[in-house]
Amino acid sequence: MNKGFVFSLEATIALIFLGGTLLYLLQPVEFSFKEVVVLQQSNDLLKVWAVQYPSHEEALYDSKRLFGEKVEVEIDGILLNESPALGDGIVTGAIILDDFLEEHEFVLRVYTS
Amino acid sequence: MNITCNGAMFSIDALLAFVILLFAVLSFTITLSNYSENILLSSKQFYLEEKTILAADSFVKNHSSQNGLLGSAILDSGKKRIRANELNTLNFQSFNDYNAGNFYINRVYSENELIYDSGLKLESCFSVKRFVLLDGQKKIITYQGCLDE
Repeated sequence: MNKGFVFSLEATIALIFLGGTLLYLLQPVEFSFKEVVVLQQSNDLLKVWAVQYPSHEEALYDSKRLFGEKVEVEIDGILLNESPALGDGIVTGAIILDDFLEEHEFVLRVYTS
Repeated sequence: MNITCNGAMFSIDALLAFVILLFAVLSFTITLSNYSENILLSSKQFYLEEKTILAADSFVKNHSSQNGLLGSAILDSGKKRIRANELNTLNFQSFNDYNAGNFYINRVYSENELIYDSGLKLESCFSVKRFVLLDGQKKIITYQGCLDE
């Protein structure tokens, strides 16, 4: 045993463990532009509403056309609908003037997950 | 395997260890290969989505007299500014085919109406929906970009 080496099961297990750790570190990074798209679409809604001031029903209808049931609309602190979706969300808001130049606060909450 | 001054001694233990090690190396190589393939696919998808989102944003927020596909928003010459998200169908007359490398703007829909078709049959595509005022009417524009692979 003085001249040579011993390749043991323990050494194999250690090598496999090392390989497994390396594989775990090499997991592909997930990317998504979903948040950017949602943010752009929310801004689209607010921009259009700034030009054509909507009624509560119109605001809800427009939002649901874009986001389906994953959106909640709040105008002047009044929640118009409750979304069954849960999880992470993106909130966008703006102050929009109506036809009589009165300020109204619009908040859009879109659930992305 | 024990190597002594008298020669090599081959044991079951060493054989087992050697086989396990080979399988580990094999699985590591396969995973690495899949990983690099995934990276390649992801980078293509990233490129496609990025270009489509940028082109669609340009379509609703810019005004281009050369190519309406890159900007169809109304130009308010009196106020010297672009009215973002307000489009005019007159600007659609200047639609010209557009590509950047292997990225093509393939189709544009207003609600379900096709307003631009490149005529290309491309398979790797990505669509973005934008909410706009088209001639004063609220519309959803679907903007589709594709890669020619």
